[in-house]
Amino acid sequence: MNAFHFAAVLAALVRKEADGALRDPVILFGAGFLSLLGGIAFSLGIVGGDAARDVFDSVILSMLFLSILIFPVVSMRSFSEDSAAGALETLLTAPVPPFAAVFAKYAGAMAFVLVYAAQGALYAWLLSFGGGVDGRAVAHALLALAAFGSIAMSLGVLVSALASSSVAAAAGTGGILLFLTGIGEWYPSFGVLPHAKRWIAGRPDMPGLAYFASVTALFLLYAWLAVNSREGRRPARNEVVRRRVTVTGALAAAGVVLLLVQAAVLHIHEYPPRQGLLRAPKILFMPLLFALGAFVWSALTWRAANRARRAAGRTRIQRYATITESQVMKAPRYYYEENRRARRRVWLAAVLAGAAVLGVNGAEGAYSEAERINPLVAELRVRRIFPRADSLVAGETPEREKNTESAEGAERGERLEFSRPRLRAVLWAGLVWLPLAWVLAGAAAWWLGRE
Amino acid sequence: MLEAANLIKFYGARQALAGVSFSAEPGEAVAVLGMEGSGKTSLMRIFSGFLAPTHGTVRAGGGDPRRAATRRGIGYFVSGNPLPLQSRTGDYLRFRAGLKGVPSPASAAAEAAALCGIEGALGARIGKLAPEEKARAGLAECVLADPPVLLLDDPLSGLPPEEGKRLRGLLGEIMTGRAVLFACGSLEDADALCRRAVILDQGRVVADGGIAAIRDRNIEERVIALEIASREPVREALRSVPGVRGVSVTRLAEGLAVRVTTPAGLDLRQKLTRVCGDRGWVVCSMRLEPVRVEDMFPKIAARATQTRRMP
Repeated sequence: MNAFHFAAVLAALVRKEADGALRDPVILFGAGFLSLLGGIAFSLGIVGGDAARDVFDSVILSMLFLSILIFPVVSMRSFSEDSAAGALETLLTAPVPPFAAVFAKYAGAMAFVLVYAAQGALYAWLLSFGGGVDGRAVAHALLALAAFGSIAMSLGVLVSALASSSVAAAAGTGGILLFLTGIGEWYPSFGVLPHAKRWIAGRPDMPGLAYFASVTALFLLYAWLAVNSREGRRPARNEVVRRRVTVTGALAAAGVVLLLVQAAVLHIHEYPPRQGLLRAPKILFMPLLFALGAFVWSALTWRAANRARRAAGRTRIQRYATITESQVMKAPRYYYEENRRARRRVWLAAVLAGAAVLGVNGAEGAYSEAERINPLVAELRVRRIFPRADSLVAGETPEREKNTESAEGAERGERLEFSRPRLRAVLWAGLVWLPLAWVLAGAAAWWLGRE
Repeated sequence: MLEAANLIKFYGARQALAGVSFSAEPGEAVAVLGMEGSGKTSLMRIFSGFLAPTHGTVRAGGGDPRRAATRRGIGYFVSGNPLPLQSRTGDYLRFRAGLKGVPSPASAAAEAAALCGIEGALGARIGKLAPEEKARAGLAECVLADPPVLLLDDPLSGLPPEEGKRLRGLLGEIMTGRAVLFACGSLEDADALCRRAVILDQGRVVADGGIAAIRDRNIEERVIALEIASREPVREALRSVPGVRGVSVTRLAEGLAVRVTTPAGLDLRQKLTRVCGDRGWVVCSMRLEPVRVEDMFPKIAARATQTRRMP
């Protein structure tokens, strides 16, 4: 398969999936309802006399929260629906690599995310009649919505690949998305909301980009593995036991790697100068979680392995090559695929990828936490980046922060001012026309598909 | 062209295939027969690349079907024919042609539809098609890229006899010149389309060879079904025909439905017609009932078990 042919195949798959997402009446009607709720937030902001930027930020945040209700509905269709209809077999026996199928499902769902995010641009356009929002702020906000959608859709594809029913997939995706949103309150670097909020506030930063890109890539990688591990595509039981052993080792290794990465970050930034590491319990949370997971996993693995050995009356795992037909009938769980090593490498890579994602984001989190606990770290960071800026650590508010604050203040601007007819038109557009457009699109989709 | 070597497949602890080996040359059509749960669909899924064997090797069209490039040369009719019911037939065929890397998907879809006799249904939604048309759409999808290998998993399943007979004509046409695995539950269908059969029982090959030879070796009795427009007692007269082993009679609204059991190698239809004619009974219909795979199984399975037990 050459690159051109692969691109053509991928485009065909993505087009089909995007078609499915954008022509589903249920999704479009749901988006209409959410648009109505967003319109209410928009109108209240305007009527309340807020600054243009405040109205815009609040409407984008409400769109982001409301999207937790609609994005899982879009992504739930992907694999679980195919699986229930028997179409997964047709898809996976086409000359298409499974990862292309996974990516196409994700990209097709992203088409809806982009249309949904474009609604934010319409709110900005409506606000421009009464004062307006800086174009860069609009771009950042839309980027935040798209990035949030990217995580939601990749997660949705993963859950859909694991779930047997669409409803379970939607509920699972919604639940995990809520968890990812909520965890930010406690552990900001792993929460989707703090990153998105920073972007919406006009500060698209590298840690945020790393977070959105790495988590999306990780979910897609796991979705690919999940598709390849569905019933029947999975290796034999013995391979599962072996995989568990591998995963146990990998989890333990990942925990150690994570701890080392975080310790290195703290060491580089000379933290803690005078305090013990245990003063920062949140920093140790993830490595401890890993260690606990590895311990539980290892206990389960050895229990399963021992039970399997006892069942077959053998003392060690036997290689397939030496097995006779009668042994196959007596102890089936001992036979594993010839490509076990390749599979093990894939799973190891998956776990290490997960560890890398957690490590990257965790290291950033560890640093932020250290910075919060000990202001000296922040000072040291500034000193390292700007060696000559000694005055910045003299105890006053750094100039950089002052600049940022004043710039933000300028961006937020004055209160919105509309002429009476324009105000009416803007409120009508936000509250009625936008939701109605979704509903009409839904009605058209229903009408065209009803034959 | 098609080759399975010691295929073993487990679903968890349940074994679906236990060392299946056979091969088919280019242009050879092989029927895969077996009762429900015998491993036919697992075998087809492994050949299609959908499932991985737990052990053993499989080659289709000269390569491993788990590779996407190999699957371009395989046309696969999935069991149950799960087509997207909301799509229009033409759109679906064009989409699938695109996936198979056909240079011109639109013309490939039109050609396949013409070959399978559904040109008129290209604009219709698949969900609205009649069962026969739906099966034809599935077959059109199989032949889109003119693959040298066809895997047909029970394409005649669920079709009424008349429609099944019509579809058999189409199957014969598209199977010509290709290496084909044709899984089905009816020996009659297999006999009409293939010369060779591989019979599976509990995941094992219990018979492999010419269909006629397998049938002759394993079928002991055949049934001739008659409908006679008469109320007279017919049992004794038919029982008296030399070779008849049994006669069962059921009363219908206008006549009798009679089932006559005969030895497998003996065709008594002419003699039965003569007996009925001599007595003035009008025979409305007479047919030799098709041999089902289930009918042969007791004997085949018993023989296979016996062979396995031998030292």
